[in-house]
Amino acid sequence: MSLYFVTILTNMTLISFIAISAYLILIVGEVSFGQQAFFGIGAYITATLTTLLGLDIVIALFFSFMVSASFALVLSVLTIRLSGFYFAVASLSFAELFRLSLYKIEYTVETNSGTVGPNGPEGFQNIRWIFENNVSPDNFLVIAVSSLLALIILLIFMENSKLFKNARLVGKDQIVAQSIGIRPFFYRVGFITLAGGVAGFGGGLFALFNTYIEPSMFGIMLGVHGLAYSIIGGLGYPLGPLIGVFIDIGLLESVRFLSEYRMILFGGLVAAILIIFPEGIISPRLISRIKRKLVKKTNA
Amino acid sequence: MLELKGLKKLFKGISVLNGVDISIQQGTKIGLSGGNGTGKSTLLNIATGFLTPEEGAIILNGDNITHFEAWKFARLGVKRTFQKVRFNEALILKEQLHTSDAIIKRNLDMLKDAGLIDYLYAFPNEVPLPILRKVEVIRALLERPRYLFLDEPSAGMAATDLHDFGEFLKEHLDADISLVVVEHRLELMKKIDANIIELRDGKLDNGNIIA
Repeated sequence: MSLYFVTILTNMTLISFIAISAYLILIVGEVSFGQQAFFGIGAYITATLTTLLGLDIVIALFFSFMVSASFALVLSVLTIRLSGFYFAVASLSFAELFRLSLYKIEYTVETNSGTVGPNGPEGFQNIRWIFENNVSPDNFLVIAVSSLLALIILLIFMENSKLFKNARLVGKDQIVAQSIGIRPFFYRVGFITLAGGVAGFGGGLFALFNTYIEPSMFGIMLGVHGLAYSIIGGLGYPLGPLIGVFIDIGLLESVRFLSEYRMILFGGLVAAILIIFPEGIISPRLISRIKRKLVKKTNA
Repeated sequence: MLELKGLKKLFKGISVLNGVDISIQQGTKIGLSGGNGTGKSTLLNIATGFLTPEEGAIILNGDNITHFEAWKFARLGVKRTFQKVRFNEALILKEQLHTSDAIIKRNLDMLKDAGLIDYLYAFPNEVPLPILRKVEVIRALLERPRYLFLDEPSAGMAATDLHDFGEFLKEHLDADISLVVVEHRLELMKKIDANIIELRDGKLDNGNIIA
């Protein structure tokens, strides 16, 4: 595979983590414009742990997940009385607060591989894990894709669990959920926290792959893309967000003559898809229809 | 016993409930009547935890549960249905019962009587309203609540369906379930032998009743 192709695939894989984190929040009925912040937190955590402390990436990514999830937990509890538009604004405010704080965080150390550590607007340079460990772009792609695959498989298994069904009910109709004894608080906080962790994990991988991160990378457009991917992909199944990613980066970015016009095309395409599929391509209703067909087949 | 004591509720400064007292014993059937805007639905919302009263208390078997959230009322066995049926248009009815196959099997008779068996795999927009109304009742009944509040269950039903719905309730409400039905149509209340109480000017017409 050409390096260009490998890079595109890796980028698709990494942004899928944001798309899935947006998906998890949409399931419990909220819209977040702030998932880029958790991606950023995860990126800075992995960068710090691998360069400054020399920790193994498994441990670094674990902490990226945990710390991002903890921030998301705090955010979800603080915003427990907000929903809809108000939650969206709160999540965006949090993300901007985080991004702007990064400009002020400066803690650098000189090492053999150069200056490392968060350095305000200069960003965090020399995240040399892939060079030090001789990880080729192909090998990194394997690491990223297998992590994503593991997450997707886990989500697909969870999809039929009571946990996910209840979460979907909370997202669709909190009143009915409460009337049958489901506590919305638990699902909302749980899913927003999990979403934060997933974005953070992806961010950790992103830092390793990119070898350099800076605050401006974690702006609102990153979160908006993640959100758009899961909306056009649909909320019926965990593969939905990946379809969104594939349409934008896979089709538009990788077709070279289109890539200059990607943002224009993507905007139009999102509108067109939502007119044809108002609930995204893999909508919950589509999944119900497929399940019904399968049941009828097995009964026949 | 579920006791509602001195319930008062204001909406935008206007008093809707003005001191409602009622004790609901295990197994009683109550029909709550009253004109539009007399606070029947408000009373039902308060009794099931969906609204909190400005004054007064809700006591369940001696415990004050006034400030509990609605989901906790449901877990304590105080359940309800809604005036307008609430279903997720993207899910088949079987999934909207939010229960396990084992519990569905255990309640097969009830599902058959409701005519739901033929519609288990249908979307709500493919199902006649009287059946949806029964599905709402079934959804509330599956976990064997102690108290069931029905909010205008006959809204939008033809007279023949009403009769059928009454039969269904009579057949499937255990003797020890306490039922409170908010309803305009006396026919249904009579069918299930409910004690009819009227809500007027924010109070129950017969004062401190023990139903």
